[in-house]
Amino acid sequence: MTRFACLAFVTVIAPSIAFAQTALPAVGPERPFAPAARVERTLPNGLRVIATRYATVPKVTAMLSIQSGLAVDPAEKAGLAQFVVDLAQEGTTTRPSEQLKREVFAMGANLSGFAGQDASTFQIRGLNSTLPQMLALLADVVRNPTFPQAEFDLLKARSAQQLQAQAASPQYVNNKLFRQTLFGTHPYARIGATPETLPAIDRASIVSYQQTYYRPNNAFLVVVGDIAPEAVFAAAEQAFSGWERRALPESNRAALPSLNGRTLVFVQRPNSVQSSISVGNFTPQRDDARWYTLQLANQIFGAAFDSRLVRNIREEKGYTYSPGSIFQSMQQGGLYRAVADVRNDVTGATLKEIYFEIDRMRNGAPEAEELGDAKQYSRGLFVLQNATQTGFANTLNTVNTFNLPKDYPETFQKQISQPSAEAVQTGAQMLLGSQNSVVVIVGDYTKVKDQLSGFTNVKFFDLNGRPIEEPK
Amino acid sequence: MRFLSALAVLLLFVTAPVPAQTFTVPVEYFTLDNGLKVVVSTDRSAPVVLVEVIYNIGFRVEPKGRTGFAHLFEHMMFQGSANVKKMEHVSLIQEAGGVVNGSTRFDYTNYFESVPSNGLERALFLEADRMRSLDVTPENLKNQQNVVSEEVRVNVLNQPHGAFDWIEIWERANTNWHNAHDFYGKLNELEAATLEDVRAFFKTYYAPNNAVLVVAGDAAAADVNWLAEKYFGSIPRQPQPRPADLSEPPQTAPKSFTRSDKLARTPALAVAWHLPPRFTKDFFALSVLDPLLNSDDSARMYRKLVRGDRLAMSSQGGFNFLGSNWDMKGPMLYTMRVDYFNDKTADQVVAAIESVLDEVRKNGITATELAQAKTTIRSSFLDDLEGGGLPLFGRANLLGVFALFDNDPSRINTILGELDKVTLDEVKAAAAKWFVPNNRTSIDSRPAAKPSAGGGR
Repeated sequence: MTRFACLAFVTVIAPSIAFAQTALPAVGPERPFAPAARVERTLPNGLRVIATRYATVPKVTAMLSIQSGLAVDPAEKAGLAQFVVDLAQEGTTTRPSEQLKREVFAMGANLSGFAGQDASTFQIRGLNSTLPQMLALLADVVRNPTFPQAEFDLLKARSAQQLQAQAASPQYVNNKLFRQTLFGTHPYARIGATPETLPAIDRASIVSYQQTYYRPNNAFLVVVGDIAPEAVFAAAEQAFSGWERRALPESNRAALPSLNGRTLVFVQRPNSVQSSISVGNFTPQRDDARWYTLQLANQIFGAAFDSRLVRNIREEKGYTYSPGSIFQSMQQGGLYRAVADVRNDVTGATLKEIYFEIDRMRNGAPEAEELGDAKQYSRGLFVLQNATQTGFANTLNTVNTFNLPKDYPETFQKQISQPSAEAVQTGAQMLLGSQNSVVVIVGDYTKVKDQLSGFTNVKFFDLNGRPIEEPK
Repeated sequence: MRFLSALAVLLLFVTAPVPAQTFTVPVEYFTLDNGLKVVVSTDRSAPVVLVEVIYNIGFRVEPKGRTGFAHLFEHMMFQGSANVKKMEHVSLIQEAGGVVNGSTRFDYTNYFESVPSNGLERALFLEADRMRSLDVTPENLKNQQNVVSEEVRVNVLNQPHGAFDWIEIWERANTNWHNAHDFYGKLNELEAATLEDVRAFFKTYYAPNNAVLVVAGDAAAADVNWLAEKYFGSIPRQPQPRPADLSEPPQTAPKSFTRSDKLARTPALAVAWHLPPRFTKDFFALSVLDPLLNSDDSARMYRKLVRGDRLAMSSQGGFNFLGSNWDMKGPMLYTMRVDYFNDKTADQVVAAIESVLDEVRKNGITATELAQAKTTIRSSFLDDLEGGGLPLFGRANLLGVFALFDNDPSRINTILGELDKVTLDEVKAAAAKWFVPNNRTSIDSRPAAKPSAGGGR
């Protein structure tokens, strides 16, 4: 049909739509977000099981979270927790590695594991009809791993090669050096094994870690999917009830260090065509009541696409494609990192703009409209994040790892809507350090050094994280 | 259990493949007078909607001398239109509690809003305004040329091995420029783009009769119908662009290349094979074989390259690094990337890959494997229908692609049935025809500086 005919049609039926609609439609009232109800029970051995029926598709996600991660690794064996997670999936008393993996595939499921700072989490996702088999397999992995020597040797060889590959990634190296600089000797400095610790990680320490920390009284199981909670409990009891509880060693975490002034760490990467930049500092721990004010400050500063930092260094200046604002709260403190990968010749200019925006956040409260938008955005994002089974399971994992109130999913919307502009400014001052902060640049120092005046405390490292002299 | 072949059912007792519960996607489909196709899939499981506009233009068909232009143009679509200022599209969606993005692929470009469902009308207004009246200034073009250049740097030029396994392999395996150019863009060609290029591209390809609007989630088809009419109904149609000739001549001999990489510290190999045309018998057969070769660490390639022969640190492969088997229309490649140990060679890796393929070419796969592959595909398809990065994104994108390419979005409910029909003989025959040395291209990417000792075995 031609445009003419189209106009004729609409003129008769509804004159108003003959013209382009130029008026922005208002957003209607928010529809209520009612998170799916949880049912929680504790097995006699202490394993907490949290089950939620969420029938988006006929699948189910199960997460088993061991409440110990990289932070309890012995310092000389940093990265051990990830080895335990990986190697536990390489064979049990009744399932050799290949059989285990074939069983997962046969069910149409995916099994994975990840060791973070505070927890080691295994996830299996598959068809809802297979939940009993999925949980049986998951239980076998955490309860009965045999850590075969041949599998350990293979994993170690692959890890050694992977460390070399990772040293070529500017983003990986930046993250590693940032945490190392910020946390120093505190265990939160770790993100995995290093060339120094890898040789020290042996099979005996893997066995000992699993025996010590993989205990039902140090774990919880979250199951979200198209399945009734009663069926979840029946399957969980079957799979986990024989798991023996054991008292855990006392944890005596070191205190977090503090920042004093601005430190610049430069990681020399010859031939780099960009500088990979991080600017950041410490933040409070996850269960701090002020977390919502920091979260809002983070959205306004740089986490949202339409935020101050993105507008400035991307949409106005075109310095970078990928500015980011990373706010990670842990059980004991947390960290903040503003990140950007920029072409060499705007390295100094980017640092200047990042600090300009940091200072602007610290020195003035956000406008009412900006804050209102950030609240609305945060409320919506929470709905989106919890609209899938795995998304909701992640939220429940967070609630239980950081001891947040059980009604966190129900109260988030209200909590994030409350902080005043002044409270968010105070939050920004905790989120974004200015005088006391760490800068990490991974790049080619010989090409950008003239842009780095103003830093008195500068340290140089190679891509393996070893100190070096100032590159010439 | 209806999707299992009789033969597979007989073998259920070995390692029982699991029947996936049937899940039917609601599909409503209509076309506006200006040619805009509209698909609605109502799903009330959460108060969210996914709004997507998918245009029938991908990077294969960008102008010669303007590599990367289709993707640069995608960025321009966020730079303002008659009633929406630069960045306002983003801020207006954020105010509605949502997120917005776009992506450029081989055969289409998509734009999408993921919003709580009260933001539906606003998302439609914004998509319609830019389809009607994109308005780009010289300053905004310059700004996004800089941003996209940084995107190419961060994702390609500053990464070890660059994009050797997802761009260069296409340039090497193919001969038709449409399939064989650098679709992220040479920096000087990105730089050369003009406002005139932007206007011409917009007029030619960004017309309602060259697009599909998809709404998935908490919305009724009747509401989407009148809202689509209200906002998109008066956007004029344009002459249908002439389709480009994307045909790729058959390859007749193996091709292998080497490259030296200044940023890499470990070696890696990329391998590609041309694939049969979409929705042919061989295409479905290889779609079933794919997870058995490369899905995870139970798959044959991983078992051989990483576990068995201990050649590689990791191995991955599949139909489409930028999507799936379902969302390409033109010639496709099956690609693999193998990061191998410093003390091994690319020849050893290629030989091991060939031995895996030779086994399939000669003996095919087992009935159990066939059934399990179908179960796995069905299970991961359900993940696409639920999520795919954002709630309902995978579903909306599949509906959009099937409407755009096939004028049949309800294919989302029948496509797995085509896979279910695949037989053991068909898998073997397809492997023997397509996964052969004469159809293979490989690139060995090695660090320019010699890697340090250790790490290999």
